[in-house]
Amino acid sequence: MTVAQADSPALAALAADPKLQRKPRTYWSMALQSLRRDLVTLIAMGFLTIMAVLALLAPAIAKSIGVGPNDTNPDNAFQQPYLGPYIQWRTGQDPATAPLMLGKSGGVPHWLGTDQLGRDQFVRLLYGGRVSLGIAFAAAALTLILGVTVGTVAGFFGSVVDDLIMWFINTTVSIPGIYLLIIVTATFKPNPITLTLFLGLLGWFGTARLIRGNVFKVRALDFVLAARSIGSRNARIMFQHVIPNSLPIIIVNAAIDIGSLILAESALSFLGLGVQPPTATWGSMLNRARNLIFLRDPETGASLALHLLSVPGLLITVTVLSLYLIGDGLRDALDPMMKNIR
Amino acid sequence: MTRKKFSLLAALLAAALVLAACPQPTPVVETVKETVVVTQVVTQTEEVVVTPTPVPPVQGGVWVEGSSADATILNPILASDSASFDVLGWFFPSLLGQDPFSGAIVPTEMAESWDVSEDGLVWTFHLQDGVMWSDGEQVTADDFKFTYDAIGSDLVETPRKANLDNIESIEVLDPLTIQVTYGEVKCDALNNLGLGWLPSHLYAADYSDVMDSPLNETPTVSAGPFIFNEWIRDDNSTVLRNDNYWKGAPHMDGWIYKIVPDPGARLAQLQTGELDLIGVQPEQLTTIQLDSNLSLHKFKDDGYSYIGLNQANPENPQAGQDEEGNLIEQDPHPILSDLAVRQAIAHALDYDAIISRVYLGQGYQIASNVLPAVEWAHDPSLQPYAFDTEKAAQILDDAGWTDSDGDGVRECNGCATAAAGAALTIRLQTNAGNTTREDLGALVQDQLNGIGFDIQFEAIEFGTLVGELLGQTFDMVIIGWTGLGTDPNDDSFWHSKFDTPGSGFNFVSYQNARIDELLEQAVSVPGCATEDRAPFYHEIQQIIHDDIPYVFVTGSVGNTGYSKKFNGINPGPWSFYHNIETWSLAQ
Repeated sequence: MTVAQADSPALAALAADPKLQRKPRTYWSMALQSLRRDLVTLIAMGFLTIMAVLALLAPAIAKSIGVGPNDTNPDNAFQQPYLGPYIQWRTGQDPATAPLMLGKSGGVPHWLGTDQLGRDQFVRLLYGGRVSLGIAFAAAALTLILGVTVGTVAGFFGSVVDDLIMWFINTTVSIPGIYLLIIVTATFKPNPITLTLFLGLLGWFGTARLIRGNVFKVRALDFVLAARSIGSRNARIMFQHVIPNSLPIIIVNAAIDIGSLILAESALSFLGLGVQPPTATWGSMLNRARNLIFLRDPETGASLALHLLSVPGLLITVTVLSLYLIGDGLRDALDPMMKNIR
Repeated sequence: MTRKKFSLLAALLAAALVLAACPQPTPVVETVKETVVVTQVVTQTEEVVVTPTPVPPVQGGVWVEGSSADATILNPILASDSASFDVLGWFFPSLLGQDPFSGAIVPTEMAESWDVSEDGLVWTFHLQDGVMWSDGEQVTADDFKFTYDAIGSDLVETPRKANLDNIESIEVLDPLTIQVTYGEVKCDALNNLGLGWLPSHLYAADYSDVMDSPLNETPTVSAGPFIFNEWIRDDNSTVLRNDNYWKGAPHMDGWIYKIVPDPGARLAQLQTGELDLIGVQPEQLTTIQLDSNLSLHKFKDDGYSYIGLNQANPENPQAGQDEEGNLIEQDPHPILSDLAVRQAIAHALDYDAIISRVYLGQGYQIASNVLPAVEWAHDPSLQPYAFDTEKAAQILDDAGWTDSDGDGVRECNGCATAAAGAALTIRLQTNAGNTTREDLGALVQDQLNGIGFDIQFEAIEFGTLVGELLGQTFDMVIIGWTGLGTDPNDDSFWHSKFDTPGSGFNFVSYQNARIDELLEQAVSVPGCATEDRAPFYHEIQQIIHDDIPYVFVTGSVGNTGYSKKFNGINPGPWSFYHNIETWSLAQ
């Protein structure tokens, strides 16, 4: 197979030339290389990593700020974000506002302001991120496991098995997903674990259909025929050939799924059907702020609660956008057909 | 390249973490001024000085009220929703008037006076003469009798059947005299006689067409200030001036009830003048106040929010009385049956902060169960519990609830009601989706945990909550009463006979023989004069205040925003439109 063992001395010399020597490039290293050139995807990945790490470190960060997610301080409700005045204090533009804000909050810097009960929005967002991201990732994992298993089985065995599974999936999918979720969450009281289960158990149909289609395609390829001809068993073919060749689709699908699940969780919380207060989630924070947008300072007429609406909203948007961008970037990187070889 | 990316990532992370540990300015406590959203409840009576005008009032103009819900039926004995009464209230005469400011029953409607027999059982009402339906028939005692007999008829299905409770007979002595005989004296029963009268000459004498008469949709005959014109469902209802109204024809041409479901849209339409009156949400108040074309009518409403404290063991709900009416001794709640714990809770809450932050200023602290809107029965001398965490902690210490293991939660070390070593752990529930109550729950949890409670707060679906409430399986619940009406009788909340797991409203299992007795006496005073009933209610308020079956959080406040285009508007807490016939367009 290799050129290095060519008979011609000229070819041998060519092969020995260090300039032409390079490591054999595998599928994954090529994917990685193309990913490295994709700045947008990298930024999205970086943002998501930071969010995840911050959410994981939420208790430590809360401790260093000195305030818990459910610590109320009614005297300091609707404090505007401290970040701006702090920067102005550091740069010497406004030496007065930041100390006054600290004085009102009892020395606690509320970087993103406080809500209607004087709870710290930054800390609540971090804790909310634990719940929102945790639910989305866990539910996506569940979706993936169910979807890949069912999809592979359906696509690989075909015929009656496929018919039955597809009949079930098509029937279930024809019920609008969000209504099904609303019914289930309105009936059973959701906590983070049950909500994960609901989202996961009701979310795998699309993944299964996608995988099934791809398995159909892979199953008909020559190397599967070859494996069959040397007597490989079904399980070996499935795990060695079919699933690895579906991996790109699975990964891309997962990234987009997580984004959709964050939105679903937010939508449910927004309807008051998600994880119940006082536990913060991004969706429930947004929901609470929605009622407060008319609220204005009686003296200045300035809107009091804009920061409570904009920050969680922006965070949800950017996180979901990041996940979609990552999904998009991964598809470009993992699909050899779409690769722009340079 | 990779390293660069990683270092960038690390730098970002570090920046985020360091943010928390940056050098901070020295805090300065501002002492000059304090901006509180709203602190004072404006009392209802606003004296409107009507300047004597030599010119006659301007005729014409239309008043448009915005509403979230439409009427369902325009028949005074079949309707049960407030939107229906908003519209049908213009057409049908009623026996008794209500003082728009005090809520007391007054002879301003069909009854111009009444006599009560010595034993308080027979009431004789003398009617206004010369009140006409708009089709020319006179309004007489027969209309009243027809209406109440219709309610009692088997052919009529109505939620008003209870209005006949305890009434033995209704007799027409002459066209302008009605005699009502009661089985026993029940003072709040007088309110049951306040329903609108049907025009009996337009209905079949056997009540067979009351349920499906076209008049239920198009009540063309009126004896009130306006006459029905048109009703387009889920859009608007229009009524026009009744030129023969017995109190004097209104100056305005008509009144429109317009359905605008979205509160934001209602506010916008009020500002543009498409609507003249809306109910205002707390967060919309500032917008109204800042608009020079609008006025705000703020009033103490007939409802309150409270934290109900279950006096009995939630694992063993029992009825308050047996079948003979004897008290059944309750299995006491392990923690909340301890008066010291209840007192500590009452003192540990920062009511001012709750009202200004959670209720956005739309509330006022109350001391006990009778609201100031029922002026004659309310005891203004009773002081609400004061916010005092030190006192609350002291009460718990003295009662044997101390934190012996240093985990921040108190345990029973010699307390009166719980097992030794039991932690001060209590569930607190409210209904999910009510953001005000969810906020209150978060605040109460934090404030009580601050003095050594371990409050486990959860917001649950309303139906589930009601199940727990009526089933009496809760510990503490944040909930409220609305629409308490003008009579102070609230025996269904406190009387032991209403402590019936599964249905009764005394779900906190409050049991006090003295209260049972007082509640019964207060409604059976012969003659039902307010000055005779008031002492009973004063004593009830004192006992409820001391026993703390409820922690009273705030009385409700209603807000109405309205345009200034008419002169003479003088709203009271019980009625906005009571003098509408005197309003006239502002120049």
